[in-house]
Amino acid sequence: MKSLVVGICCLVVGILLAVGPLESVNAHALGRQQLERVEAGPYRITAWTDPLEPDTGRQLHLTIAVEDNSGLVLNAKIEVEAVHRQSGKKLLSVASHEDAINKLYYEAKFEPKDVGDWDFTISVEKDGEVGEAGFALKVAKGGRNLPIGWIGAGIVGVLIVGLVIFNRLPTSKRK
Amino acid sequence: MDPTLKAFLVSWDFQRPDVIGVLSIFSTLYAVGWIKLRRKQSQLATWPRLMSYYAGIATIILALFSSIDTFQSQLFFMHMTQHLLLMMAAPPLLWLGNPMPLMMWAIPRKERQQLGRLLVQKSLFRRIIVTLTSPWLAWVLYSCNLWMWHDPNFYNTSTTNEFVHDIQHLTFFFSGMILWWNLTDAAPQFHGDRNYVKRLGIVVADFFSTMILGVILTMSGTVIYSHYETVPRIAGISALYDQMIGGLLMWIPTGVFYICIFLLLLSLQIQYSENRSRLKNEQRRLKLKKEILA
Repeated sequence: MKSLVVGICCLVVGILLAVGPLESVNAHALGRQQLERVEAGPYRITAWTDPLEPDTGRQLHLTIAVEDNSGLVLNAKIEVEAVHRQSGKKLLSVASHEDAINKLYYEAKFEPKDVGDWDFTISVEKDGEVGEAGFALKVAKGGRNLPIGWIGAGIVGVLIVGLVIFNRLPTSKRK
Repeated sequence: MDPTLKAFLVSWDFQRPDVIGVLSIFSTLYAVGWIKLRRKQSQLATWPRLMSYYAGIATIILALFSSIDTFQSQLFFMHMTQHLLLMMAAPPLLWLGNPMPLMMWAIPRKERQQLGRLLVQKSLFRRIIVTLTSPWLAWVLYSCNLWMWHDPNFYNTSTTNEFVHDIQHLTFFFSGMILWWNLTDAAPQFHGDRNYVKRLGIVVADFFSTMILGVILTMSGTVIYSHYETVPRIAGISALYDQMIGGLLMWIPTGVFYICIFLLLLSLQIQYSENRSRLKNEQRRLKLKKEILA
């Protein structure tokens, strides 16, 4: 019976480990699409932001794809400016292939510390040809992002170690 | 080298310590168990089994960390490739490695005995597992899961929401593991029916289930998953053509794979029937001899 209870606990916590969002890790998806092949001079710009609900407690990833009539444009110079509407604070970041997981795209990172509306402007330049597009984004107040996955892993580890130690205790001490 | 091809080859993403952790634990357990049994000269610890198991692990790594995962949000056929690897390639490779007994042997003796008690004939845990993983229920779960995630709403959500995407992969992988557990009859042999007819039936049912979905995707004249119309196209592949390729992957190579499995199981069934027949004849002969001598 004890084994069954421990087994079920490990299974439940294991599932938490598998599906819990790991906020402490820098992994991210493309996220929410902000621009869908928007015309910007000779280019078309597509942009996504992750996390889906940005807040002041987490890094914001901006993934950018640039196309022209012949397909995806690589090795362009891309600058992204973010302006906080309420305070006028500006953040500037350069988007590059190196930071992007998909090397056909570009990625820029931001750490917006102010709650409210931010205006993002993406400027693309390659071989003298420039294009610009923008979007607005609302940033919420950052909460406590519990790393559920890591907590789950910790609990599983404690249970396993506890069971191993318990099994090795002399019978009289187990009571 | 073509920049697009180069980008495809290098766009690997290992930023998933949770998955790496789980794969490392199971890989280590298997290796330790295999070495221990090998030292005891057990027939369980063979080189083909070891290679099969780690080929399964490598398949999971390919599906989840390689450019296949990176490009799945941009190309539909990449996403299909990823799913097929998780549902149809990794599970049979893992099960053919016979992982359960080998990983049990990696665990210290006392804990191994405690875990073993969960698997004895009369245990409640075993009865629950046997019920939940029965062959036809496994097929129903597998097929329902496959069709559910190809609903446009679910699918589109999975391409943009990492959490939903993880759930999708977990359900694909686990439903594949349960189905292939029945088909490979790996230990623990809870469904220890050596008759292959049931398994042949599951393979046929699965063949049609996957093929029909593949045909629908290939023959559809419109783009079913709107997400792919919003992303930049690579190498001039249109969203509709991309969908056709993905559908063809589910239809043709998958169909061929199921046919091969069917033929393999059929040959095993024929062999099993012949052996049974031979055994019965032998028993009849011995009984007759005994009667004559009496």
